Amino acid sequence: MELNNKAAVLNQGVVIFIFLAVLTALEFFVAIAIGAVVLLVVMAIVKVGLVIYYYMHISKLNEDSGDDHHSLKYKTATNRLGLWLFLLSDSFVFGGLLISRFYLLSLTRPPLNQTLGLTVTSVLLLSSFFMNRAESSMEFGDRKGFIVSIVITLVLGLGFVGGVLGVEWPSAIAEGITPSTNTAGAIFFMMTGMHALHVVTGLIFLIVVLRNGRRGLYTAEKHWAVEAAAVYWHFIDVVWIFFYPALYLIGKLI
Amino acid sequence: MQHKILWWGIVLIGVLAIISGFMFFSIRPSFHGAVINPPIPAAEIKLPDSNGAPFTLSNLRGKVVILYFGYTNCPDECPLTMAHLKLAMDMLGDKSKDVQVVMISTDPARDTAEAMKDFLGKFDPSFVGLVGTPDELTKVWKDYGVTVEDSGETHSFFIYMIDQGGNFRETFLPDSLPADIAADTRLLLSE
Repeated sequence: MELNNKAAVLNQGVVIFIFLAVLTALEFFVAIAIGAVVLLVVMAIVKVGLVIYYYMHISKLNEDSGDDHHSLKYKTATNRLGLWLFLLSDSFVFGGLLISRFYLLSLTRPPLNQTLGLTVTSVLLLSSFFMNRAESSMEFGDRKGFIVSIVITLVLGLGFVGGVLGVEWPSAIAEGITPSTNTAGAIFFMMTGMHALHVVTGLIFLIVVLRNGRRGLYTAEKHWAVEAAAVYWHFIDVVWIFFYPALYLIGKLI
Repeated sequence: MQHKILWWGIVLIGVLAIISGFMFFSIRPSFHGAVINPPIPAAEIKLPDSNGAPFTLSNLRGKVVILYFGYTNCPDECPLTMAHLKLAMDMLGDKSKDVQVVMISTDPARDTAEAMKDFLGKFDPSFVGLVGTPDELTKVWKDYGVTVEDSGETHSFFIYMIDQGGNFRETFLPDSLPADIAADTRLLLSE
């Protein structure tokens, strides 16, 4: 799957994003007009598959790391495995929350603002696009492109946090949905809160990587921190790809 | 490589879109209550009503009839149910003229025609109440499977929906959403 020129790599990023965007729009339509849970689940899985394969480059785990345990290649491979194992463990937290949501609320859902939900989801998806673009730029040593894309990712990430913590939470509380009113409130705040916490730590990660990038610490050959930040960021997006339909699209309003 | 992804992606999304389209265009509205399938003809009811006139259920063919069994001295369930039915009728707007809500007494000892008229008038003057002798009412209770105990204070509390052809179509529990009752009434009216 190695594409060997920058234009092709960036283009692939665009193509994958368009697929993600179309799937999100289709998801929204299916939820509002049809309500077929099976289709929503299938679409979520397809979106997640696209992100994990094309943005997170999970196939890199399969790369031969060589026999020299002191080589950069070997150390990077070890780092990569460690990061993915960490994400696997983090998945248990989110997986547990997702299952709890269906156990507690079954096929009902809390009354939430659909426009807001679609907006923050689009913002996060777009941020993943730019994160991928940033990482791809760095793969080819394009520091300028990397910095521009990372900054845009940061801004979009802040937009997401602002949208969830600054708009969705206060408006939910105003509607009487608080962490302590009922089960729906509790699971809603727990899911979005845990996710937002990860987005915030992701933002910190991005700020560090931006700072170091501007100082010239990264090159095409050596930029593990950039890859790590990207994989972590896409992981957050993957979680939201499951959480968005679970909170906003699946189930009947009580 | 590029074109392969593009191609597969378009095929996948195309398939999902086509499935969604099929599902979208084959949505049929469904009933919200406990449906009786196949419908059974609703047993005839001939009782004096709250206006002092004789009431015959079969005269209401062409209208959807919503039946409820209760008593006017009820402190909770019956007023609540009547209020919900009133809300449902409001939601139907103009169409409510093709619907008749009927309350049949479970307490012949205390429910007179005036008491019924007074009670139902609090919700909607078009609601009709049915009274009668203990024997007359017992027959109707039996026909509709209504259990009545404690001088009428304990009674089955289903809401019964009868279609324009006089067939018994579904029952609702009193805590059903007025919107659901209105939606199902609309469905029956459109048949």
